[in-house]
Amino acid sequence: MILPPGLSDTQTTLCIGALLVAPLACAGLALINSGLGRARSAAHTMTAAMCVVAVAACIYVICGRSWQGFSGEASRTFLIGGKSWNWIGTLSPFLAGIAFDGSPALLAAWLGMIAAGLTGLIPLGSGSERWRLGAICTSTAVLAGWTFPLFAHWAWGGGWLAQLGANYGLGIGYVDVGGSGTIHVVGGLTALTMAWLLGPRRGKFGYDGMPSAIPGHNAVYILFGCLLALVGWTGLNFAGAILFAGVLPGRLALVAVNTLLGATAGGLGAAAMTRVRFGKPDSSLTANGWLGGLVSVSATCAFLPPAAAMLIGLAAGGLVALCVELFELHLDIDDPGGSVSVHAVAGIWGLLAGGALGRFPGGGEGQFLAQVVGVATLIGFVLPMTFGVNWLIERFMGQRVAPDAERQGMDLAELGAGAYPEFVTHTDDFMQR
Amino acid sequence: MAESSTRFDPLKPAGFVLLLTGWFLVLAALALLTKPAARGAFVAAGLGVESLGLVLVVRSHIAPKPDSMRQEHARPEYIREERN
Repeated sequence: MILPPGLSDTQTTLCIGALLVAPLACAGLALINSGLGRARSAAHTMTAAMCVVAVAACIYVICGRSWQGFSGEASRTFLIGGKSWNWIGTLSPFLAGIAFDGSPALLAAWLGMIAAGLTGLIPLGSGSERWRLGAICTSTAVLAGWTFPLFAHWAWGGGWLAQLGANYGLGIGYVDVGGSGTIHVVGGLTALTMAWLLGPRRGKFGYDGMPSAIPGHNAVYILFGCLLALVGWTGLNFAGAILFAGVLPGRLALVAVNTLLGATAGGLGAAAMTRVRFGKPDSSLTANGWLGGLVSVSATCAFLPPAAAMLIGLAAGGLVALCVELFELHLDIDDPGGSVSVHAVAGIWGLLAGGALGRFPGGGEGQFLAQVVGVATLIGFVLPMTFGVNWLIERFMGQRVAPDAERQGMDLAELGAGAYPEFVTHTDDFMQR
Repeated sequence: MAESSTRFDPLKPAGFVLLLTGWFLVLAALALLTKPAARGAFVAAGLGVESLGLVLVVRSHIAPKPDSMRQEHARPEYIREERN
């Protein structure tokens, strides 16, 4: 979708308020990742989360924002069949040349810093308890400095995906106001890449290839993280709706209602699914369903009727609970945070379902095809690229900790101190499975 | 080092090539076709090729199960250590 020319004072004020609470999404995700891991790696997970947000924000300002750009700013384009294809932003590094007067470009850069950090936190969930801190920072730098800004330019910066409506009559172009694709599918596919490259945790799969359960150490962190994430997500969706869809203040209540409905229906969907499959609702999968609901409605939250948002969230919650089990049992993917299911699968579902069920300006003819093209780009281009980049990092510096460090726990091995020094250590944590 | 990173499987690069090929088909559909039905069919074909590539990549990352492998060296390194 192509951006409107400017924002009113009310829109600017609301956008600033939304961006102030948006980092709570990062805090929520960090708490969830920490709670889903074991106690012996809790401090490492939280420290890594802080490092990820820090590296992502700095690298994004240094070069990421230059590639991402903003609608109407300098970029490289070429002509195919008489149509202009806008591929990449060409702005100066370090936010040089930007007007610090509350302009939409400045607010988009602020949103980009937070979004890059959130994108970087997603792979942390799949690689936790075995991913070295130095490698996490390197991988995040590449993600925030190249992979995320490139796709963000296409979707949010007036790139070729956003221009699908103007160039080819596909609705209003690829729509992703809250970042289901730009943040979550990009992060989720990187999480899948990391799960593949790092391999499973020690003891996750036995001799017969069957996975063993390694439960998270703190359900309260996980569930409180979900509530924090809801607040931050609402802020992100508000800001995205204003900046990338030109939503007027009166319509923002719909964005908030849809975001809340997506999360709650997602949580209920996952609770119901786990109740049916296991006899009791599972708290960590319910939390994953809550997040999956948030992820799925974010793409088109400004254009969905509330009933559609509820349906999309409900289906996303059930889908996430099923996919977590499928990936672990049948695809040998050890993903402690459920990042691939929550962010990649629910994000793709949200982009497609939102394209089909949303009510878009101008009738939305061809909108579903625009969303399909976006999903095809994520799977066909972003996945190979992020795999290639992380494979190179793996070849040059190695990303997994030594076996002894993993057995000892990431806190002691990488940080020298545990998160809970007064806890009694369970001996089975140190037994080889 | 992770098991998946030490074992070369030709399915993996083939899968990634198919993923990229499917994406180019989708781009070609946009650039070359004008009728909505033809464009939709071509995009669907591109997605089909991508799906095939994704299946290959996913399969290349699944560790061989004991029934089908017979060779001890195909198991992850840490399991071999622990059995010894």
